[in-house]
Amino acid sequence: MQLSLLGLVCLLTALISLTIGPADLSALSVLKAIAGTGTDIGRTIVWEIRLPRTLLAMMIGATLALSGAALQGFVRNPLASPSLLGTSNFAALGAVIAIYFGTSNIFSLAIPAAAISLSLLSVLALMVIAGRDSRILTLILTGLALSSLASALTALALNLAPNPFAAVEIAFWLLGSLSDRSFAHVTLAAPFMIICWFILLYDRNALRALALGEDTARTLGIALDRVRLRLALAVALGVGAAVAVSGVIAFVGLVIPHVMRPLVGYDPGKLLLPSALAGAAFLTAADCGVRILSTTSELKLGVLTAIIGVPFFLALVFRERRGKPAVI
Amino acid sequence: MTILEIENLSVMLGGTPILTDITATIAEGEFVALIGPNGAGKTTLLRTIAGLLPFHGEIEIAGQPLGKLAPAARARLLAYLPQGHRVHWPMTVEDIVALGRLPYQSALQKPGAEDRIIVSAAIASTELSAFSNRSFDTLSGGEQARVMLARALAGRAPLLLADEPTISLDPYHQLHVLELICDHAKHGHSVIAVLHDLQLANQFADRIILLDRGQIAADGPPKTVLTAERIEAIYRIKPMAQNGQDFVRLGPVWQRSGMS
Repeated sequence: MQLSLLGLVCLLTALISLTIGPADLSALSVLKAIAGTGTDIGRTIVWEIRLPRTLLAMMIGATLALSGAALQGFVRNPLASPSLLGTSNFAALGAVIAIYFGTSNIFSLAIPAAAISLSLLSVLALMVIAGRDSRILTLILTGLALSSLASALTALALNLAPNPFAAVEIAFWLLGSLSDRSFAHVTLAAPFMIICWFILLYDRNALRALALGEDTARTLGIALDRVRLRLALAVALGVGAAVAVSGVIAFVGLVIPHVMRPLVGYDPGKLLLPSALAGAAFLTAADCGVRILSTTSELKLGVLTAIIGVPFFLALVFRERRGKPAVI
Repeated sequence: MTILEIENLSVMLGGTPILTDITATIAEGEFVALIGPNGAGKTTLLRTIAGLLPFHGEIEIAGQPLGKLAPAARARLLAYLPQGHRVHWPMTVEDIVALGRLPYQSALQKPGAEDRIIVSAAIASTELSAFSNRSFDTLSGGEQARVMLARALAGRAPLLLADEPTISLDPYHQLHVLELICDHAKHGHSVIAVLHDLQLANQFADRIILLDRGQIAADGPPKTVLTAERIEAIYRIKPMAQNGQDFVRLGPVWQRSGMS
């Protein structure tokens, strides 16, 4: 029931997203274009420009929210998320390195490959340093250290950029956006993201068992070491691929699972699929937002999600200080 | 039938020997209380049997060596109830108890009709039916302890390992939890429970294993293990004068009111 409702919201947001753009296309003509009928111009606009952008928004939203929900379940802490723990920043660093050295011009998989490798490194580092200890402070400090390191190294790349245009290009790319993306981007990112989704959903029972702590989870038949590796790999694949095609889009992985959690009775396994759907709908809606808001140059998607996300994060912290069980 | 066989078990943690040369067997349907002063190695022994710690020697559960059991197969043979009642998310009682069925579900499977029946039976037997949709953090300590017990019982494993299941409970709830565990044993499941209260161990257990500094100091029926001399030697406490040597023979002191 909940799931089909969320699915419906996803589809509606996608349809709205497909109708937004300089060319005035009604929802009906958009649907005709998708079905392969309607005008040539309509088909070209929908298939070449709007559909890739909408698909990317949905895929990336789903991946980020799902990764956030899985990370939060694994470390048993609602403050875990790819952007807060440095995973996204490391993926961005990887992508920046690939752009910086021009390897992306040589083969197209260079950016996702670099982004995925570096985010894998950061998730593994996080799990080694903070994995044995689910206390919030260790986790957040480790995440802070990792994201600061990634930012510093990214700044170094900007600092050493061969010319100001390259620096501006990298800086803008880092802000996170989905404008001017094509189906090439979709096909580049989709395989990695789909693997990510399958692994994370496969391990949902492990996340559920971990609600009782590591010892009990083990005695319930969960091979924790393997789960930890699979999860690190899945989050790195998903977030790495997402960052590779869109830049850094922060806070989706933090906010969405948190909003969905009470609706599924706080069960970390049941949280996954609704989070993915809500993440897809949220990012698609946010991407509609940046296109509707008329600013001189288009507002970057990553900027908008951060502007929504930071107050939310602060509210979470205040809630915890008042003794509500935001963090248990 | 023997459910658990331990032979020459030794456990080292961080280079320090915690358990040395433990040999014991537990029969089907037996309720064994594991007692001993703080630091005797009770929790370590329980965790080792649960497969959570590396060890030397041999442990066999239902005839199968512990080290060779796959995690899921091991989970179907033993349920582990750790100390304290910690759940990291405020989940509902029903969802928590349902976790006990995880060893029977593959990753892509949803709980089946049989799982649901067993979960509601575990909830009913621990008198939690009225709470099944309540969130864990709204429950009292006694209710939380019963939820954790129901979760462990829902696995229907032949061996239950309970680490201080009565800790921080008032006398009424201590008796209630031990009655439930006793009942579980009467249905043919073996139980090893770490207990600190000697009186309760005497009252409920079929057999007592007394650990002292990592070794078994005594193993047998409560009356033969809980002698005044042995307790004084190991626990450094002695019965007050008026009860004299007969404190064990006093038998049960309390029962829940309304129970016959």
